[in-house]
Amino acid sequence: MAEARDLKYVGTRPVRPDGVDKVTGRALYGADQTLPNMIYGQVLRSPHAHARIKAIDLAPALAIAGVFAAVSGADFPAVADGEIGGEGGGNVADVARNVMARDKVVYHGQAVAAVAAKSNAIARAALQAIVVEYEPLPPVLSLTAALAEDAPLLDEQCFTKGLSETPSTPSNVASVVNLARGDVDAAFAEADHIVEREYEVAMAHQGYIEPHACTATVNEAGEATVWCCTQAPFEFRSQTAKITGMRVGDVKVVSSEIGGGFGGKTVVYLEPVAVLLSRKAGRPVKMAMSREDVFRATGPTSGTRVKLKLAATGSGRITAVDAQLWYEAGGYAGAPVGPGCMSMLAPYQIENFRLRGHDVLVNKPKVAAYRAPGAPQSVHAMESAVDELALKLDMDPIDLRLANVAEEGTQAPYGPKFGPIGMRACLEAAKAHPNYTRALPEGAGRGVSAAFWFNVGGESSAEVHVNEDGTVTVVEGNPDIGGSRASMCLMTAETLGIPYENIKALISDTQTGGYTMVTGGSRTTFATGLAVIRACEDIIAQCKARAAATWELDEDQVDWVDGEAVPAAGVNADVQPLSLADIAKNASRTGGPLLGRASLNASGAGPSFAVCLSDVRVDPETGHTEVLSFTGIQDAGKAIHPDYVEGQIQGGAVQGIGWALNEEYIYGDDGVLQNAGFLDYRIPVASDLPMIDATIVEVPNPTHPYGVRGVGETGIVGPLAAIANAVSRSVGQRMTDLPLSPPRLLAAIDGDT
Amino acid sequence: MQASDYRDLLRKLNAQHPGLGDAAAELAVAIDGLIYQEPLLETLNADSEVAFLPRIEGG
Repeated sequence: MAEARDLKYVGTRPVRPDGVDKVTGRALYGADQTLPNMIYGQVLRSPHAHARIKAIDLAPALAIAGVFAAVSGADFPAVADGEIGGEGGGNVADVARNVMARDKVVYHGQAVAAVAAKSNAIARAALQAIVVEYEPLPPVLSLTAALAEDAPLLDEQCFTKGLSETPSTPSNVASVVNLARGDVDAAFAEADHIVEREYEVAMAHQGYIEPHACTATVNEAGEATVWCCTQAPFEFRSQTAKITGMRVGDVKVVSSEIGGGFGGKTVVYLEPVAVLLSRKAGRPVKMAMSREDVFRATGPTSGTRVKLKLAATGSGRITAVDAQLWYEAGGYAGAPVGPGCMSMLAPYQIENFRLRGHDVLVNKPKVAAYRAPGAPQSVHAMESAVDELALKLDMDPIDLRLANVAEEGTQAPYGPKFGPIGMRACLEAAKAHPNYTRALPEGAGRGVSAAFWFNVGGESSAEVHVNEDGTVTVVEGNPDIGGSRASMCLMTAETLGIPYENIKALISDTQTGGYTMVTGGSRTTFATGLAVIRACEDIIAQCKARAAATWELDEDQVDWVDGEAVPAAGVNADVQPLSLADIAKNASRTGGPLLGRASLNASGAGPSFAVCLSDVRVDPETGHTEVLSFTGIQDAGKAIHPDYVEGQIQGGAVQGIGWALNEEYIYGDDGVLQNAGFLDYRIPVASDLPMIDATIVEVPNPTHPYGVRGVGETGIVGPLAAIANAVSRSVGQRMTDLPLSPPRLLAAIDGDT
Repeated sequence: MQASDYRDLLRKLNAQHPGLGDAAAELAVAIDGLIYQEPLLETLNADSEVAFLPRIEGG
């Protein structure tokens, strides 16, 4: 249980151990692996957004000198329906078709074939020689088009799940989820105020800087090794094995450093293709996506529509919410509409609600997880409505939220009662923040949003090796995306009582370390951190036993204090304390090397709440929005390394601001993405934004020894509404659809909408 | 409902509402506010509050 205590290392800000390698270019990323006799793979992608594949002829490509192998869907084994494993992966059969199309393509850019050749130039030329016969079908490119009665069907076997009776006819609605409590109709009948709007958020990409890349080699025994940039090496191992028809134990995944993932690197794209090409060619195969490939065929997250109606009393008590949510899934089912429904009301105590979410197929890439999947879109709708209610009531928007705030003991909309949570603490910190108390700059609008994300625990393993001089190596299985090496070292230092500088953290591959779930779900510092702490406690128990044996005492007569074994209070022993280094030095005489281990399935992840504040000014002549200030205030439970927590808050804010103001997938009528590059898909850069102010609130999670909650995802949940509310107040009209790009804002200002 | 542990609860749900326990077994469970993504061996107290909910994923 977390409790107040003096901490020596946890909460400090040492220099990150991976920093020098990353800034000097020494760190190895996904495309950096090079092997003898390596060849290069390229993917042929569909020119149609929706089409049947009638035939594929690989022979002309294979006839080209320098081409070693070619594959299409026919080369992959049949994959039965089932859970893929990992974050947001969905149905393994769908992921297999997403990796390589079989009888149909469901979005422009979907992989239909691949070749491996001695150079990328030859491989690209060989792609042009492959003959694919398509039967084009009309593309479905919007929620409105997908839901039309006569809409073309992406999947003729899609019978909506989640209804009381399975429908007799297929549709583009893959599933429906319902979340309800109380008497919504009665609450609306008694309401003093009702806010009713429809909100839209555009499909957007995770925007990681490093494109997907991997190198695979298959040996004569049929065993594969895959080097790749991934958030989830163990899930990639499982997914690759399932899709290529291999045993899990015959696939080894080695994760590289990773240039961003944000959920988008939790599911395979290239890896099974590279394995099959390598198996056919008998050589290692490297594959790397272009930026255009990344935009057209990986990620993104759902474009959404939320129709929301909110009831409130005259004093600002929110009494009911009635909402329907539609989320674009892309070409295969699996939009994050469930967590969208479950998270949108979590900051509040609301007795009556009725939420109905729809997972809708459209001819766009299959969506992947993106930081707090599903929550930013639904919370944008709810927090926009709350802001509109505050204006109706002429009430401070933070006071309105405090009047409805979820507390410890509140029954969450998704079922359980909250334990200790930080929503109130975040709101109070926001209200006292200088960015909120200062006068509003002339012509600006100030926006507020609350935010929530669940965070998860799950399976993790860790080993702690004590070297003969008392230095320590921590081995864990999570790729370091957000600073986990430093966090693991800090928790090790605190638990063992040894200096941070004496510890190094290594990331295992899938054969040399114990199973560890994805670096995602804001779980790593919580769950893998717990495994590291338990492995340290294993070391301490061994050290106490060895000290007891050395001193000829019983084990319970020895304590571990500040990194040393000492006789327990009241034990009369004329001995000198034994440090970790002392015990390690003599380990061969007391039982052999010191190795601590732990593997666990962590439950009790602590929900995380946040508040975002922003001041913006909209240029009425251009529609450009200048972000004057942005403040993220978030409950971390306990910040193990505050720099990294602030970095997560800032990173989430920047991605959310980009989604709110500029980022969107723009399609032509032919279903071709028009802005598949960073010049036209505009993510914010440093010169676009002010310094993001980050405030860490610490309401400890009682299920973690140091009080950790996850911090990686909540930061992106609030910015969409905070910006939308600031812009709406700035321009004097409610802006419901994102992004608030200059053309959209200018049209609203000019009265053209 | 009185149940000694998670599996006993599923059995009793199935007995009272055939199929409900099987459906619940596909979900995560929250026992006294703590979420277990893949439950099996969890014990219940006489006054435990139990909620079934979809497994949470993340990014």
